[in-house]
Amino acid sequence: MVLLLTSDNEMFSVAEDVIKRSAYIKNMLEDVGESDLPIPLPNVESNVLVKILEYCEHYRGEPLPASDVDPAEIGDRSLDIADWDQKYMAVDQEMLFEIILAANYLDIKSLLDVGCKTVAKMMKGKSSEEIRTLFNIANDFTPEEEAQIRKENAWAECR
Amino acid sequence: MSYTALSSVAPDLSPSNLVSASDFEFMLGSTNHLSHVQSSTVMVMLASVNRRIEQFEERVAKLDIHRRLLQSMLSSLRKFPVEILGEIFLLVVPAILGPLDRKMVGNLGRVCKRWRDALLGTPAVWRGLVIRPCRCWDRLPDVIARRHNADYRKIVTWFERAGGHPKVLVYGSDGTTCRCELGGVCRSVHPIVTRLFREGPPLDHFTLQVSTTTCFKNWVAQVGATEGGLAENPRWTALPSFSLEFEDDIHQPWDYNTETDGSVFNLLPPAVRRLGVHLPSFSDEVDHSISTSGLPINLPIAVLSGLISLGIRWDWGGNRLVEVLSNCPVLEHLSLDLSYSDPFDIDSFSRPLVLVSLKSFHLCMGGLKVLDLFEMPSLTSLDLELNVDRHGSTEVSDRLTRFIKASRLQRTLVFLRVCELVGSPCTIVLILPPLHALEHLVLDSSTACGYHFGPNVMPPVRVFPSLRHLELLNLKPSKHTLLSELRYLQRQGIVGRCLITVSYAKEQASSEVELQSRVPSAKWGVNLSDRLATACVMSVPLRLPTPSTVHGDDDDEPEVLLGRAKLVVLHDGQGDEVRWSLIERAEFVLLHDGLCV
Repeated sequence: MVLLLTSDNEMFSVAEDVIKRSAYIKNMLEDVGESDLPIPLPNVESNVLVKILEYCEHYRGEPLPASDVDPAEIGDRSLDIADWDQKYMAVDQEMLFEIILAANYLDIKSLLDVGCKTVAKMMKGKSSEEIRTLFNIANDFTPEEEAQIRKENAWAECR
Repeated sequence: MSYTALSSVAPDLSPSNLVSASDFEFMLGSTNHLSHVQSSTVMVMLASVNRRIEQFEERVAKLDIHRRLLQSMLSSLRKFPVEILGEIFLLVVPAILGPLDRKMVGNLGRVCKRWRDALLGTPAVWRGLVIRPCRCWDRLPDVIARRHNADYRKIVTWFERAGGHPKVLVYGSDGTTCRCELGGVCRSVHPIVTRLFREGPPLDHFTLQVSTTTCFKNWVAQVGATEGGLAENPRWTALPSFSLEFEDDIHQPWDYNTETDGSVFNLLPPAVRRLGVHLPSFSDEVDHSISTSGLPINLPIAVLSGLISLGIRWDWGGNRLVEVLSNCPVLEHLSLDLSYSDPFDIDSFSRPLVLVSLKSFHLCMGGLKVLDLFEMPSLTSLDLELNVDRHGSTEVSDRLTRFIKASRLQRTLVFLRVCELVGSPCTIVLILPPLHALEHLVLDSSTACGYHFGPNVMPPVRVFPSLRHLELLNLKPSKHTLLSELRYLQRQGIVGRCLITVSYAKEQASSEVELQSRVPSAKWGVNLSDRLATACVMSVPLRLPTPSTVHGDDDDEPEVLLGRAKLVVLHDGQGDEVRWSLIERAEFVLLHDGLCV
């Protein structure tokens, strides 16, 4: 078992094969070896870690997905999300963002991918104002700046 | 509510200044019709109340904005590193951006300053562009020139943001035929694209979509014209990756001279290493008096000899494909789109051509006969999107096995994808030799309830011992459950411990009630044989009728069921062929779109 200590000082005891989906923990275990000391996770709160462990538990024993495509490769990436993953990601926005941050910190690529796809699907086809409303983002552009950016990206396209 | 109560809740709404307390109490407590004066008084009070509500609502809205601003300060979204934002942006927009996609990029960049910085810090967003033909010829020349100049600078800036990422430009058709051969302006010549090739950033890939060979010649002439010759344009001559795509359905004389010197393909960029050629479709491209079976495609040997990747739509050139490929000694990737044709006369080949360097082969919309023409000993990836009927499907195992053995791929093939096999009636037989190196197998067919990999043998032979990922996609929902399929795979020892992905085709079958309700609205008096002939041409595939529409035993073959059917329902998208003679007795044939015959 591996001990994990969250930022709100909660201790979790987790089976090694479950948490090894995290490349960060896996590497740490390989570097440090067996230890009774908990691994501190200063960037992850307990309620988020519970969700992360739910994901790892679900995919326990399954081979790690193949490494990502070469970013230099030209090609569209699918936004398809497996049924279970969709249900798993049906959480409030803050939790979704926390899961993404934790997946990034713990280096769980498949979870990070699902999280990013979930956010991308929410944004697709929306205007900047709709995105701001969706994610509660303040518009810090002046009207002039916004007009300038609008002009930069729109070329005549020979209508 | 009494006068007192109203005064206590909203003292400023007290009617005291309009009507006495006793009068108000009386009006509240009575159901009598109000006098004109009383009505007016109440209406004034009502307007006052409405005004107050509006004021409160405005205040609530302002407070809500304030609350949201405060909440946004605490949002975890603010903690997202730009790399994650960039990753999300790359999922939102495609790799090569058309006009609408560019608008989406603009939307992302206008959300807030941080997002704009993240967008500018994600070079991959800016790597690919689609530009459509110019349509502003009717404007004043100086207006056009100004506009093109401004747009050119924007496009250059756009590509500069891509940094070191491969830059891709698609100069795309807008779906209308160029009329340059009739004296019109050639739409393949776009001043901005031309200028990009003269002085813009070097491109890594360029796709040119044109109507005719004349358009291609015009384009090349335009690119090379300023300096007096094609060789003078270093961006064109150094282009490493190029796709030439001819639009479909355009009648034109084709490049069929046996004299290669006059071929349009001599204009290809000489340094190209990755070439795509989307030829016009078979029925349109040539004079009908000319036999197409032996038509050459005059790709210069100098170009072919350096290709490492070739993608070609070949549905007209007959057996000359082998000739083309025999001149590609270093070819590593081949994508062949047969566009539903079957152009190869196998008997005319004495022995297969060996493509020694080929690592991946993608066949699209074709039968497997083409595999008999080649041996590919270095192949690691085989991707087959088939166009076969049920009979052709039964031959797939044999042809594939023969090819695998001839190319000696049992210990080297890593990826295999087979799409659109047709089940008989629903379980697809795919018997392959052991593939010891196979890591990823994808089987995708909406007519399959499951797959049969061969008879039980003891001890079980693990056909794919290295398999890490098995994908069974678009399975047809049936009584043959996934569980039994997996048990079969396990019992057969076909796969070991691996990731299995399963998806089901969306069931399109309508309920009989729905069908019956649609039948009365059908067109009547249509000549059945004409309609069937049309449908045959459409290759409308078969979906079995609902159980109560046709009464047969479970074990009956579909053909038997069809022979008894009063109502036959056909749905699109399954790649099967209907035996029309068997459904002639049917009173109704309902096609997938509700059309009845």
